[in-house]
Amino acid sequence: MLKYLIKRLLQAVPLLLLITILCFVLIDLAPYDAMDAKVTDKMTPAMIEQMREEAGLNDPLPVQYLRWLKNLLKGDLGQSLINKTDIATDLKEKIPNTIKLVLPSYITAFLLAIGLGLLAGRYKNTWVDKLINSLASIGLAVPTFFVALLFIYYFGLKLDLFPVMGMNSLGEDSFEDFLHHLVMPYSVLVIGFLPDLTRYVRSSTITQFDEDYVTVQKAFGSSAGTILLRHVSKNVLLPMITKLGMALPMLVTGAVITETVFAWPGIGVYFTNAIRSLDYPIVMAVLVLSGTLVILGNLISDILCAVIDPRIRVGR
Amino acid sequence: MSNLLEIKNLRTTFSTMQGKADAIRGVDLQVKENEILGIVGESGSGKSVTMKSVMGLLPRSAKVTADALIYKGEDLTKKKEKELRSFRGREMAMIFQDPMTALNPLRTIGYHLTEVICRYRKVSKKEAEAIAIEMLRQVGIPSPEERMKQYPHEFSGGMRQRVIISMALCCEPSLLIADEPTTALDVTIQAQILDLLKQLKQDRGMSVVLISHDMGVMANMCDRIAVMYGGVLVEEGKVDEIFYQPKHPYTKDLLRSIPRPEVTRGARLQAIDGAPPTLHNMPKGCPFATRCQYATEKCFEIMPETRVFSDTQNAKCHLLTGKEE
Ligand SMILES: Nc1ncnc2c1ncn2[C@@H]1O[C@H](COP(=O)(O)OP(=O)(O)O)[C@@H](O)[C@H]1O
Ligand SMILES: [Mg+2]
Repeated sequence: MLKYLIKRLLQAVPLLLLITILCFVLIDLAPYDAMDAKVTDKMTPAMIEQMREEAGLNDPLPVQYLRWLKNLLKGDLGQSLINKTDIATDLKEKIPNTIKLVLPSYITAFLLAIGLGLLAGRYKNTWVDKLINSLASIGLAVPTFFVALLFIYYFGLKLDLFPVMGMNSLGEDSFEDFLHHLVMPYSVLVIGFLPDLTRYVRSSTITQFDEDYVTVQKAFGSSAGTILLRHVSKNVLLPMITKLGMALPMLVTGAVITETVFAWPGIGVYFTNAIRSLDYPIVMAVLVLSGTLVILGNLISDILCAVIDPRIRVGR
Repeated sequence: MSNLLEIKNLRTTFSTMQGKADAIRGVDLQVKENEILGIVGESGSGKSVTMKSVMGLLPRSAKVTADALIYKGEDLTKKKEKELRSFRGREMAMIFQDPMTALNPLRTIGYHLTEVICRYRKVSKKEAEAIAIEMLRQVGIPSPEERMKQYPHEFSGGMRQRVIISMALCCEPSLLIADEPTTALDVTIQAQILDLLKQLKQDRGMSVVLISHDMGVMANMCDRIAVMYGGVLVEEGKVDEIFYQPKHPYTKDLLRSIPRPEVTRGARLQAIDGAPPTLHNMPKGCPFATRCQYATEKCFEIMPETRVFSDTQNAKCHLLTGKEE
C-alpha cells in the first residue's frame, strides 16, 4: 500500500509542473502584462522600458517561469494588479467562504442523489423512475444562473423570505443571519449538483441490476429490496467514492456563477472580477490552485478505492 | 415415481423492439422425484427460458403463461409473487453457466452463504457460519474456514461453481436446476462438477434438471432427456431410448454431431446444416422444418401433434407414425 501511495504521489509531480507551465505560457501569450497595468500617461517609453527591465519582464520566458515557480513554492502568489493586495492573503479570506457554501450543498446533493438514484434504478420504467429521470433531465438543461434568478425573484423579492445578496447583513455576524443568507444559494447549488449525480447513480443501479449476481440472488429467494440494500447498493456506492474525490476542486471553483449572482464573498466574485479586469496574477493563482486540486482529488479517490475495493486491495 | 414438478403448456413471449417473440411455444414436461432430467438442444432453443419461466426469473418484458405448473401438488401459477419467492432457493434453486459473474464481487463467500442460510433457518450467525463451512466442505472446497473470508475473485471458476452449488445446498431444495453449469469450465473441472451433482442427487434424494447442449454430458448424467428446438419440446424419453431409438430427425442429427472416439480418425464430425430460425421468422409449424431434410409442406404450416412410442418416449413430428396422444 505504501509503495502504491508513493508511486502515485511521484506520478502527480510532473502533472502539477505541467499545469503550472501551461498556465504560465497561456497567460504570457495574452496581449497585456503586469507592467501595462502600472503605466500611466506621464511615463516616457524609456521609463517604461526601465521598469520592465527592473521587474524582470524582459528576461527569457523560462527564467521568468522559474522565478514565478519559486515564489509559488514559497506560498507567494504575487500581487493583484488592480488592488495591489497580496493574492495569498485574499485567497485565505475568500476560500473559507466558498467552502461554507459549497460543502453543505455538495454533501446534500450527494446524499439525495444516492437515495433518488437507487430508487429510480430499482423501479426502472415505472412512474417513480420517469418522474425522477425527467426532473433530472430538466435540471441538467436549465442553467444555474437562471434558477438563481428565479429564486431571487420569487423567494427574495416577491415573497421577501430570504436576503438576496451577501453572506451576512451589514454589521451582523450571528450564525442565524448567516444561515438566513445561506438558504438561497445553497438551494440553488443543490439543484445544480443534483441532476448529474442522480443520473449517475440511477444508471449504475440499472447496470448493476442487470448483473448475473442479481439473477442468482433472485434464484435463491432474495426480494428485489434485499438485493438492492445488501448487494446492489454496495456496488453502486463504490464508484461514487471516485466522484467524491473528483469533487474536491469544486470547493474552490464549484460555485463561481452562483456566488456571483448572490454576491457571495467567495472565490467566485473575486475570480470573475479578476477576469473582467484582466488581473492576470489572480487568474493564474486560481487556475493553478484548482488544477492542483483536480490532481489531488483524483489521487485521493484512487487511494480510497484501493482501500475499499477488495479486488484492488488484494492485487497490490 | 411420482412427479415433483409438472409443467403444462408453458408459453413464454418476449416483447422486443421488433415486436413479440414467442420463445416457448407450449412445453409439457415432468420432473420426477430423485431423477436427473436433461434438457438438451442448440443454444437459443429455449432451455434456459423454460426453466427461468418456471422459477419466475425472467425480466418484465417476458409474458409467461401456463395451464398449470404443479410443484409438489401445488399450482405455482395460482401463487402470488411473494409466495413464489419463498419457493425459490428453499424448494427449487437454480445455478447458472458463468460462475465468474454469479457472485457479488464486493461480498465475501461467507456473506453469500450465511445470507441464504439465515433466510431459511432460524439460526444464529455463529451457527449459520458453521453450517456454511460444512457445506463448503461437502462440495469439496479445501480449508473452508479460511475460504469463508475470501472474495469471489480469489476463487477459480470451478471453485466458484462449487461455492454456488453449496449456496444451493444451504437452502436444502428438492429441485436443483443446473443451467449449463460446466460450459464455462475446463474439461477436467467439468467432470468434477458433474460428479458432484450426481453424488448430491444420490446422497440427498434431490431431483436435478441439467441443461446442456452437450449430448455426451447427457449420456453420462441423466435418467431422462428432453430435446428442445425453437421453443418446442420435440422429443422426450429415457436415456437409452433417446440414444438407441431416437425418433425425431432433430434428435438424430444431434446424436450424429457427438464426437465419437471409435469413429476412424479423419472422419468429419457432422454438424447440423443451417442455422436455427430466429424467433422472428419461426415457421408456423415445426420449428425444425427449415433444416429438416424430410420436411414437407405440412411441416411448415402445422405444428405436429405428440406421438407416443412408449410410456416414457414421445416426439413431435408429422413423419412419425406412433400412437397419437
Ligand atoms: N430477455 C430476453 N428478451 C428477448 N428474447 C430473449 C430473452 N431471453 C431469451 N430470449 C430469446 O429466447 C430464445 C431462447 O433463449 P434461451 O432459453 O436462453 O436459449 P438456450 O436454449 O440457449 O438456453 C432465444 O431466441 C433468445 O434470443
Ligand atoms: Mg441457456
